[in-house]
Amino acid sequence: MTTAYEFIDREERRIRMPIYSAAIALVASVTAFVLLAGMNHSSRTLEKEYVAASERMQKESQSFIDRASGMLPQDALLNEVEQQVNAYNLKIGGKFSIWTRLFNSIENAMPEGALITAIENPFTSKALFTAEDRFFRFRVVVQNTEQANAFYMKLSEIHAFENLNFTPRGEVKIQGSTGFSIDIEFRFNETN
Amino acid sequence: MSLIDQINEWLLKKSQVNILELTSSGLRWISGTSLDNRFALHTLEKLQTEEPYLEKTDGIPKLNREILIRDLRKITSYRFPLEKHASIVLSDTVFNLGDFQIPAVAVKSGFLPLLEREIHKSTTMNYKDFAVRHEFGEKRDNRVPVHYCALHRGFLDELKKACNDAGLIPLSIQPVFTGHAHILKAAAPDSRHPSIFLHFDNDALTAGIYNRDGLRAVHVINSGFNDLLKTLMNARQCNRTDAFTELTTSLILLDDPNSDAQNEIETYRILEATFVDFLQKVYGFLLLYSNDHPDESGFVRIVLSGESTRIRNIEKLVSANLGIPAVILNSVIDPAFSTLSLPECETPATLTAILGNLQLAPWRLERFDRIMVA
Repeated sequence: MTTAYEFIDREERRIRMPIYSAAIALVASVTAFVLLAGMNHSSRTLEKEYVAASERMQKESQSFIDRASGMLPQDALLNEVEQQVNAYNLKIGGKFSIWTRLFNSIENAMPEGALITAIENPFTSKALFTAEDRFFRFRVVVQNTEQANAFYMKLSEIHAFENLNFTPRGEVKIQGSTGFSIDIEFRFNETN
Repeated sequence: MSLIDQINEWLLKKSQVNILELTSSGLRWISGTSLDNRFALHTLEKLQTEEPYLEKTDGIPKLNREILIRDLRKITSYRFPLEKHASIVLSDTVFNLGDFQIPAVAVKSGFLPLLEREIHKSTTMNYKDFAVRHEFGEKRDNRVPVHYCALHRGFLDELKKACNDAGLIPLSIQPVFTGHAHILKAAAPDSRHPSIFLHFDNDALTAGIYNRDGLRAVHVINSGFNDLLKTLMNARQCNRTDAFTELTTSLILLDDPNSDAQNEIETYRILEATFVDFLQKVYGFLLLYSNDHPDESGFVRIVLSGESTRIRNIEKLVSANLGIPAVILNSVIDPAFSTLSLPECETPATLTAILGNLQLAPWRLERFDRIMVA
């Protein structure tokens, strides 16, 4: 006495989806389609806007570079200023400074990579000089003995360095690399 | 519990199924639940009609389509395109009911020719014109009773179409007596003798014999409460409402219907012939049953239900005339029914078929696998 007197067939006795669910499905799919189309359109618009913005940025940055370049002084002008400064320095040094001449002469003879580690008065062994002092001792570190010999040869060719005394002091470590330390003593005759 | 079972349970819970009782003169629309023998009714609508929804001409039931669809839409508060699921409890009058006995061997060897013959006996139409359902009874003396219930296919299709037009999806169509018998079976006394139920409804009187094992026999008498109303309306020249009020509120039947005072009540005199007709038909049914089942001729009691239980002391009239104790259904059923909060015009006895259907929940049966398909 349960389903024995049931007049709806087994296949028909089902809870089916109501008609409006089809309408809901239709509306949902149309909405989804419209949404996707909208998103697609939106992404394309955004992409175009991005490209335009990046081009604009590029142009602006280029114009900034151009403006900045325009603001920099011209090379020729700079060179002229440098030459004038050098000329003034030389004029001042040439007339009034023995030190400028001394260092210019040593600079011409020093090999590449050589360092001046100390300048002393050979009589006091201190870095104290009076304006009339012409005896100097330079401690120079060169890279190797060949450079040391080359340096001595060049110094000996320069007539301003009189009574030249050259003393090798052996290998030293300086600024993380190994070098060869030498002491040079001379009398500087600025008139030669 | 597997995931599919859980989904099924959820779908079942979410799918509200209403019960529609369809008789020739009225509709009832109920939504509710039945859990652990506890009922809760959420909606209970009732609609009466002057023009019948169902008619039977030459043994074929016909549907008054337009009126039915109109009233179905009204009672279900139909709004396009929202469809509702319904379990339909259909008046017993539209069915061809019967029972017969077959030898036990015929159960296995094929009893359909016998079933066909039985249906041909009660109708002029072809067996194929009917949707036939049957049930075997308890085997006794090497014979097995077969109860059958046939519904004209044309009517069934017409009913489905009308439901479709009214925005209803029928999940079940069962006769009134199934729910009725289900309720009574549980309340049947523990006795070797069967009991009788008389479901005295608007268009029909369904008489059945049952015990704890189930239904033993069922018979439909095609006249009911409406016949009493019509008789009274004709005699009093009043409308249906007045006749209904008089029939349900006046004292028509006395405590002792065999007393002389009973005949002095005018309304009783008007209705006496109709009452006698009913009682004779029921008596005839009981006689036939007793002849077929001589060992079961003693009956425990008669349980009355349906619209006619509104007539005071009707059980006393039945008891006095048939010689069997008679009670109204309210007094024998589970206390859960008695505590139901019902509208003033309803009692458990008038809603038995619906409550039985709610308890049976035929829409849940054998449907778990198909929900997924749906």
